[in-house]
Amino acid sequence: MSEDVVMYCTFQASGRLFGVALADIKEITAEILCTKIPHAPDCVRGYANIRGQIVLGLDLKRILNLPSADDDGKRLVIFKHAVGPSFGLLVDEIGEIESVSHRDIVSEGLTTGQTSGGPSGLIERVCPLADQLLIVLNPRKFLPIIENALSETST
Amino acid sequence: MVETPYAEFILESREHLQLFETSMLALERAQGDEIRRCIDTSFRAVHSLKGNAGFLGFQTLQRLAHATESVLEQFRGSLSVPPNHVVQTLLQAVDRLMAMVEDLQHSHLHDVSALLNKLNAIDSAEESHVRFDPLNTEFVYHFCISSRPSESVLSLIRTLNSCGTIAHLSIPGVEFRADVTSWPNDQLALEVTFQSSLDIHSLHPRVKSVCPEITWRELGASELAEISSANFAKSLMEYANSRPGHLAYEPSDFVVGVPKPPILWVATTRSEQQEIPLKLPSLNTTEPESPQQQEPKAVAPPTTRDLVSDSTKHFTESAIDASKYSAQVAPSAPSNLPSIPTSDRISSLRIQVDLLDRLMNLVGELTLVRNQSLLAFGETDGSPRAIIQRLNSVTSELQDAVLRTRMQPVGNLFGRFPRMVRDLGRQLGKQVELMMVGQEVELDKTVLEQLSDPLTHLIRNSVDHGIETPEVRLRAGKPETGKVTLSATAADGQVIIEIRDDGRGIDPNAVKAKIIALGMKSESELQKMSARELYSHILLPGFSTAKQVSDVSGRGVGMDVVKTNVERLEGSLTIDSTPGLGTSMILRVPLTLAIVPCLIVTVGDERFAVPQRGLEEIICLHPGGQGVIEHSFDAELYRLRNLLLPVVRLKEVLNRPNRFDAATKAEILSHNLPSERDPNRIEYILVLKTGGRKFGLLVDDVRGTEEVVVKPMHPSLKKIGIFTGATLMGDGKVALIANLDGIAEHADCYWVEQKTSQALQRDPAEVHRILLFEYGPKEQFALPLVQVKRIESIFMDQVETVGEQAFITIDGKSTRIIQLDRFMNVSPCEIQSQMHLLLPKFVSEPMGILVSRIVDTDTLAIQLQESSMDDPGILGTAIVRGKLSLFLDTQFLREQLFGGAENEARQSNVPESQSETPLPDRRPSQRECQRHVLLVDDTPFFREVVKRYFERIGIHVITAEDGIDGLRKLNDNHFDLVVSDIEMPNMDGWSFCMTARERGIETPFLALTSLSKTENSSKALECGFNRFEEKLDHDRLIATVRELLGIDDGGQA
Repeated sequence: MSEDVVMYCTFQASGRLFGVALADIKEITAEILCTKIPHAPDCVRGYANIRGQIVLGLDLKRILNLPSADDDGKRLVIFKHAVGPSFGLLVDEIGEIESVSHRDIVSEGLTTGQTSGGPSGLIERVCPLADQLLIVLNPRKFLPIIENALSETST
Repeated sequence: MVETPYAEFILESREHLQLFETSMLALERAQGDEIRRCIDTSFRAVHSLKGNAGFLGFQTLQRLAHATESVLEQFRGSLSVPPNHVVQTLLQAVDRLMAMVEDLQHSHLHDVSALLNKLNAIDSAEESHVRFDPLNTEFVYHFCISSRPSESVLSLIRTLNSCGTIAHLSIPGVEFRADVTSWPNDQLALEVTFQSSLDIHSLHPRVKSVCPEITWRELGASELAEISSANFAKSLMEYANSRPGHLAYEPSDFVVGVPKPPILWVATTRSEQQEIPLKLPSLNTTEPESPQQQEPKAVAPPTTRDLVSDSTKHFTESAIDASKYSAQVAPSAPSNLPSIPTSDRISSLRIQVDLLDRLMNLVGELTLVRNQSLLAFGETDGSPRAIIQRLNSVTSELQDAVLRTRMQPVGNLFGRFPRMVRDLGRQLGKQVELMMVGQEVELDKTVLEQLSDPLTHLIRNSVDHGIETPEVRLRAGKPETGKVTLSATAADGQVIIEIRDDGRGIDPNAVKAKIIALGMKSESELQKMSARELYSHILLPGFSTAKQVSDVSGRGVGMDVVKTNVERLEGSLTIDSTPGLGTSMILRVPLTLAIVPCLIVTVGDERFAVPQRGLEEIICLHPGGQGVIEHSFDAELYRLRNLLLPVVRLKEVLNRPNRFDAATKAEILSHNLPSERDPNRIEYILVLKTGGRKFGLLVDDVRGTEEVVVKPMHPSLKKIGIFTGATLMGDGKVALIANLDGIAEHADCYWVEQKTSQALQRDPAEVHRILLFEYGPKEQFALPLVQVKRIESIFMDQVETVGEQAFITIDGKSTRIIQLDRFMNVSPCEIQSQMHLLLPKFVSEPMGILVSRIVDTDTLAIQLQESSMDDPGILGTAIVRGKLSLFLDTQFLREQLFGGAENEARQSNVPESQSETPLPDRRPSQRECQRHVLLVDDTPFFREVVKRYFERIGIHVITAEDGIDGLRKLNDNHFDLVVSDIEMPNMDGWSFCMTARERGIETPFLALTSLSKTENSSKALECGFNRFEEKLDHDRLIATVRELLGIDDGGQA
């Protein structure tokens, strides 16, 4: 693999294609059940049991204000500990692994309009693939969003 | 596990320093409030380090930490980041502190004066940029002096000590022969490495003046290098015929002074004779002071292997001693030494707590697998079922074992305090005695470790602020020596640690004045506060009533650290104080944070775990029942006997992320009007106690109890106060664990203060309550509620029988089922498919009484009749609710059930003998002397029960109904022991004991009461009781009585 190619794990949510750097991902689970956590922000779906470990599941669609129903988004993309302590994103479908060359990456400036009201910094870049756009997320920004949402309700 | 206080100190210091470093680094990027937090954190870290180092005598470390702390002090409360060079210097200080901690034995060798100057420079002038170059300010001397051993050598050492730091001192060139019995009387050579800021010209005259006859030969500075103890030991070995030798002297601090004689040179020669200690008659000298004087010992044992047998006596001892240290010291010991035989080395093992946690996780996972396999095989499959049952028991045993690896006696922690109190007392010119109780109580290692800081602070506080100087004490009419009592007790899954001093107490007015001065509260607010609330302010940051900052405490950080640490452990801290009489600080911490017994409840479809620690009882709100929830102004209340219990609906708490305010409460009330109550709905109120106050938590259903493995909340969700964590349930789903304090707080539940000052005591009515139940159709049985653990609902098809005996598994334990008609003359019961099993408290073996119907509970204000049925299983009878009720003797049942050989041995002075009895007592046993006990209790029932217990071990019992009756009987008879209740009419147990003591009666007194031991045991001791036991744990009571009477378990007096 040449240096200017990045591998992204892609997944679908509300029909859109998202991606996270493959290096940040620990595992992807089959369909799971989450236990709701009262008082947690809306975008927290709950706790899931992954082989004896409790993992916090975040709802990608609710974070991005995408249309969602309670029962969809059941597959969990779990991140490595370096990204943040045991948490993952609930998504609809897991897609292919895409290798994207740096030349194809478009900077963030172009996309801010898409996420109006959404938290900044979440979308790292957008890559035009052959058939659609790949929205690359920065997983390190997710937990701070939860924390902010929580401190807003408590004040 | 062998632990030196130093090993703990090193571990702790590492943590403190790491914390310090990270917050320093964060500080450089911090803004606004964060700055203050960073400075506070690092301040606390270095403050704790300073304190610990001081107590253990690492003065260099302490000095540096103190200087660092002083610098930080200047920037506390400021909102700007300290200038770059300050942060830089602080980081240098941390690096140095870290280096010293890692090489603790040589920490005093470190030269910190340059750094100290640098830190002090910041201290005195903010903008000063004076830099000290360590090379210019420091001289290192390495020289050899020779002299006759005499007083002047001693003076020399003292002089050197006043001019700088003696880094290394050794006595080379002494040859050891087997027949040498005293130190060679000629020249003595000392090799000294000495660090000083004085140059050689100013140093020489000083030395010459005290020690004119010495010759002084300077060695090249290059020889200095790094002289470690290992090298020292090595060089000694060369001199002593390749055998290690060491100087032995009482532990002492070289910086304070030279050790007291005798100083022994302990070495072994190659001769086949016994080791001869070489005595240095008048010489007071020592190897380089090392706080851990373990080096020589550690080097010693390997040589014992090739020692001939008759010279090993001394070394056998030291070998044992050294095995403790070998693991830690081995790396620095000379490598050519043979290693210690493995069998000596491994008696304990240090394991990472992480690893244990992982083990816990895996065990939890194993439990899941077990449950799944249970489901996978149907009930009918015979053979897999047996396998799964074994899997079951292995799993629970494994879990138990893993949990136990984490438990350690608090004595491990307490061990360091006597020394600390002593040193501290001396330092402050006070006479203090430390009493310790309950060292054997066990606690989770992680909890124990985190308790070390808070306890150190609290004890330090007691000695520093609590205990007065001897003069003040004498003037106040107290004994000269102050007393600090450190006690640990385990109760209800918690460990309660109390630090009580008999010092000056906390002046409430000083606290008030300070609160007002700090602008925390207004005067009118303060007037409404209870003393406890008032004292709780002491725990806030920046609050100290000490008039001056002392070396040990009083900067207002201590208590704040304590509070933070204790809360992190889910514990609590309360302060009680009587001005002039003393202060007591009560710490409550959970036994373990890993596994918590919980009640599983549901709200809607979700399950929640409620820790049983705070659970007092469960009320079923049955449509047919009488209890209802009533509305007061803005709260829902339930009448719980004589108490109005505020009720919180868990459902409402879960649905409302914002803390309840008046509007929320009104809304909740309007949704839950008593008139609109669904008549078919069954709900449950959990009566919960947190911090001595009660509230009711309303839930939809109660599923049962379970021991859950606690996993903390996700760090990003820490702000959610109503949960403490999550756990995995048997079906693999996650359930949340409720935080009782958090829920009460969230619901803004206001407390109904109990009228009595003893708000924390158990409801006295509870003690006198009995449970009524039926077994056969004819009789009604009764058992006091204090003797009931709980009632389980069981299905008879789960019962397994072995011969005549029936078993069922409850809480993972195989529990014997008692069918009453097998043991006594009562009607048999008609077995239905579902029955109740009553689990009694205070029995050592798991057993349960089979019950066909639970009738009710009632108060025990009843006169108990001596059993007319002449049945040993019946204590007595009483008419309850118009029906004759039989009071069961659970101890009798236990003995019937488990009265095998083992039991016989333990209870061997239970008379085998209804037959041999010329004595007045029904059941005598002690052949030589009959023991007489006075039993004072106002409740006939307990009088009868306890009397039976005593008579069963051959004690003659005379009973009295209250204190006055007791005193009368004490006058007329001789007793070996008085056992007294506390709460009694006419004269209570406190006054009874005090009056008896005033009359000069010295008979041992045992308080036997339903009051909580934790809160009252100290008071009991003050009143003159020798011991304190809670009602009504048979085994403990008997053990204590035996101990007080001097009867040992073997039955011999």
